[in-house]
Amino acid sequence: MDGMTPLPPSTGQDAELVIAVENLRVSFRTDEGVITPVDGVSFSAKRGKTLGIVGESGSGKSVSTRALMKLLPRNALIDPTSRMLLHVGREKQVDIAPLDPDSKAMRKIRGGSIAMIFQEPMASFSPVYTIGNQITEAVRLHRQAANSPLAATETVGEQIEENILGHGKMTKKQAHEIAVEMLHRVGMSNAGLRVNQFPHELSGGMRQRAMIAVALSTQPALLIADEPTTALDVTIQAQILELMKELQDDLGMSIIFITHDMGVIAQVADEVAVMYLGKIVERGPTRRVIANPHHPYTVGLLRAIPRMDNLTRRLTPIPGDIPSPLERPKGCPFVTRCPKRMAQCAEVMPGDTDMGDGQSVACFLHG
Amino acid sequence: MTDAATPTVNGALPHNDAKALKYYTASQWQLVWWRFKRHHTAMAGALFLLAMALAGLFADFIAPYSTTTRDRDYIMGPPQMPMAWDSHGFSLRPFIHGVTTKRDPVTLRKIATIDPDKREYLEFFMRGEAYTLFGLIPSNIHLFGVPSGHIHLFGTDELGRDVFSRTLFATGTSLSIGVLGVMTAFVLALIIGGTAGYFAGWIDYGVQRVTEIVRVVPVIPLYMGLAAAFPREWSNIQVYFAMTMIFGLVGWPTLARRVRSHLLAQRGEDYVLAAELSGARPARIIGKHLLPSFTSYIIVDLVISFPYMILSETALSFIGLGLRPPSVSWGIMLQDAQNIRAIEQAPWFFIPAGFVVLAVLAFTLLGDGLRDAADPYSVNK
Amino acid sequence: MSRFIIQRLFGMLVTLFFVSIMVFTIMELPPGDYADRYAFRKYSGTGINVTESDIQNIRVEFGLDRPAPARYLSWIGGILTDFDFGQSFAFETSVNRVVGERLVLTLALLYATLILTYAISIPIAIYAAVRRHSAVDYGLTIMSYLGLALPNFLLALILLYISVTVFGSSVGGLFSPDYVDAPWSFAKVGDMLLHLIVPSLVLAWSATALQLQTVRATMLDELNKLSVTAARARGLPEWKLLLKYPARLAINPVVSTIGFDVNRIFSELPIVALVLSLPELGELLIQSYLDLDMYVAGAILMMLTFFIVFMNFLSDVLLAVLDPRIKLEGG
Repeated sequence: MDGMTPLPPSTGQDAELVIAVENLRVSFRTDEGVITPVDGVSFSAKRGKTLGIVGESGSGKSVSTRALMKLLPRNALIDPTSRMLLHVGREKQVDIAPLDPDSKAMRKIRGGSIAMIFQEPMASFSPVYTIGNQITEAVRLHRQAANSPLAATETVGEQIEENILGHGKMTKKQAHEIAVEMLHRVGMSNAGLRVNQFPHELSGGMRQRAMIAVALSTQPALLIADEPTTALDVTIQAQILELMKELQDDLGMSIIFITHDMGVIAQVADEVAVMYLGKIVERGPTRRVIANPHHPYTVGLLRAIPRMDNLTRRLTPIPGDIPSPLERPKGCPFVTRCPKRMAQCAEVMPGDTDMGDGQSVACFLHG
Repeated sequence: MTDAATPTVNGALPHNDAKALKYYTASQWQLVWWRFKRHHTAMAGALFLLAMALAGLFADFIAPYSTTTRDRDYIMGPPQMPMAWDSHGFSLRPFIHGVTTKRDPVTLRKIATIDPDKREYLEFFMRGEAYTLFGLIPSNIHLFGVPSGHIHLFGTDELGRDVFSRTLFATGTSLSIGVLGVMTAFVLALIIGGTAGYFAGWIDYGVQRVTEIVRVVPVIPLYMGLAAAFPREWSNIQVYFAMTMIFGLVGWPTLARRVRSHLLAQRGEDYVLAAELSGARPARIIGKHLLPSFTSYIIVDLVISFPYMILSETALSFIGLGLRPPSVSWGIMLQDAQNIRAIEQAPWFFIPAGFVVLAVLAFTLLGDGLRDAADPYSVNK
Repeated sequence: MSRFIIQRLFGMLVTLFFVSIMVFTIMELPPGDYADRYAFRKYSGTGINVTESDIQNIRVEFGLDRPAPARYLSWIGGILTDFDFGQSFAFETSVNRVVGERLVLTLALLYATLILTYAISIPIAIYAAVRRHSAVDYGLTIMSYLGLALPNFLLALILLYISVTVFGSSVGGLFSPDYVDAPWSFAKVGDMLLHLIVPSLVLAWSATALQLQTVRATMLDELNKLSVTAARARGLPEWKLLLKYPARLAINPVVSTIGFDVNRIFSELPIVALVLSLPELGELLIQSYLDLDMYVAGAILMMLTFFIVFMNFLSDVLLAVLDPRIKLEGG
């Protein structure tokens, strides 16, 4: 059977939204007090497109995407005014924010509508189960036995059988076939053999490919990639990025790509959101933001990466460290390190200013 | 949550610069001490053990009687608790009720009865039986006592000996056996484990084999077998030191293994390579870098092995293969509790058991606290 | 796999060889030898004057005049060829006859204790780790500290005290009075199993305390692993997820310490048996040490160690089956 049914191709400029996050605020109760690593963030991802979220560690980029999956620790609190709209089909949408993390609806979204891959491919597999075991698990949780259009015209007998046998759950054999096919699809040679191997028997790059296979085996509408290439060698990193792009073209899913690396963003993202200390300070189409950064932080980030076309230029690091979330400045979060700070920056958080062509920035320099 | 919260280092989160500076420039032992202080249970354990050790050390002074003094008028008598008031009213000076003895008309045995009309007032720093503290300072001053009659805070045993006094002396004996046993094991472990770790080869192989054997033979039966070999005519002192020797002999392989594995683990660390590359001589690397990196762990290992020594001593003496009367240790005192009839009539024979449990508990809590404090990179969980 | 097993079996034999030398040394340690004690026991109080030459005759009779290595070889040879552990002089019969039934009872006690330990500690520790800071979790912490601090034989004494003062009957012994000398029957086995409960609970006491801590700690480690988050991100129901991922891995340290647990149980067995008057090997061991009946003591020490080594081997094999990361070849 054909495992993959491509989603309808995206329709250019007005691609439909897969997820729209509005005013997301996440707080943690800790021994030292309440901290708010994500403070009123809005972003959205479109079908067949990649949104890159870039920021240093501590910027809240991981927390905001884990909030989407309800994968936050127990002491986390999502502000009730936050909205996370997941678009299901053309008209329907579900707000993830108020869902109970342990509810059935949430479990269907996790792995089903939204899948996730992580930074450490070794650690994201359990060492005592085969790769195949962990793919079939996802497949059998989310994919119905009858998912090809042809199977809609099944006999009454089959329907009854399906109802009795757990809502059309796939047999282990069917799921296994899909697992092999997925591994093949992510570029693993000998997929039939690899499927029965344990994670420690694969190389780092192969593990990350396997992780992508697990995530995409359920045909999610959105793939969250949390620094998927940070732990890999540069050559392997390029291969994985290439693979993700290919799979996105084939399957049409949307990707939210989290990284601290502006270079990676330039390669993969259609749009970019720059996060600093729980806030998005600048956003817009990737090309525009890179060519014409407005926020001093974005400028700093871009100055800190080496460029092949200008090897004589000295790299300029951003001075200082990102403050702890307990010591968040009252006004603009970047005020403690900003080379162009003004008196008002320490007092008031600047609002978003539209810079045209979808680019906007939260900075008084431009407000 | 990789980047949710900057990891808060156990000890103190640097809230302001002065505090942060103090934190970042503190020495390793300062850091250990700061983290240890936050461990209230471990602190309590340490203070309790200190009190116990002092009580054992100054048993001659604190205990009103010696280990062999018999009160023939109060045999298997229940504990007497000092009180401040009775049916006759209130008294600022604590007292106990006196004892009158009658003979049972049938068995002619002496029976002690408490006389609620007779008050025996407690006196402090009272002169009593003579003793020499640490075998050096002759004295006869005791912390407390009663001028006439006797006081037995924990009651008396079958021979009319004061259980409180005996428990104090037993505390000294049992703790000191533990200390000497651990020390012996530690010295052996350092020498043999260090040699094995340094020379590797067949010495290392031999140590590994011995460790393996000691690991599979059940410990207390092994102690018992070694203790059974003590000649009957040995003096108590000889038995005492022989026991610390066997604890040391059986205890060292486990410790040696840890010394060895700490050494091996640390030797592969980058900072050792860095020291080598910057031209440090081996002596400096070992003394300045390797040793400090695991002394704290070794101390933890030592503290953790105390309870095993103490329990082993208690168990051996309890079954009659360890120390022998007239020595007193917790195990010897508990021999009296082996007899069901005896403990039915005199549950206070269990009091030394309470000391054993509290001592082991205190050592365990202390060990846990030290283990957490010893890790310089431990992160608040 | 078979190569792995053979390798471990060989290692087991090597260990047992060294252990047998150590046991033999312990048997030889007490002052005087078997002939002295035999003569003393046989003739003391009979008025017969025993001379040094009489004792020498006994020595020759038992082959005790030979050097230690030769005596070791005949001792170990007897065990290996005829399963003959020598003579007990206190009972004046063969060691095998003295040990006899007690071996079965000891093993019954051991397995009952192991089963109780794991049946109690694993589920409770897993639950406590998942529901951290709950009442069960705090209860577990207190219990595990108590379990480490209160030695088994004191617990046995306390239970004995309670059973005598409150219920007016003793919890000691392995059989009801009616069955002590009765031949083996289903009724007798049933009676024994009933009497096994209290001793095995007492013996399981500290092993459980230790396993509670170990399993809880591993489970907490495992719960924070990225693989668990990854599985949760696949939409696996929470309880299924906990069983399949962290709990499955929290079992591994338990399996790897089976031999250690058996060692611990056997270590504590003699004294607990003495307090609860259980007719098994540990109690006999103490008795034979006190009587210097060293052939019996040596036999028991060898048997107990054999089971520890055997359970170590079993745990190695089990772990290799459970954890694919363990290399089957080499070390």
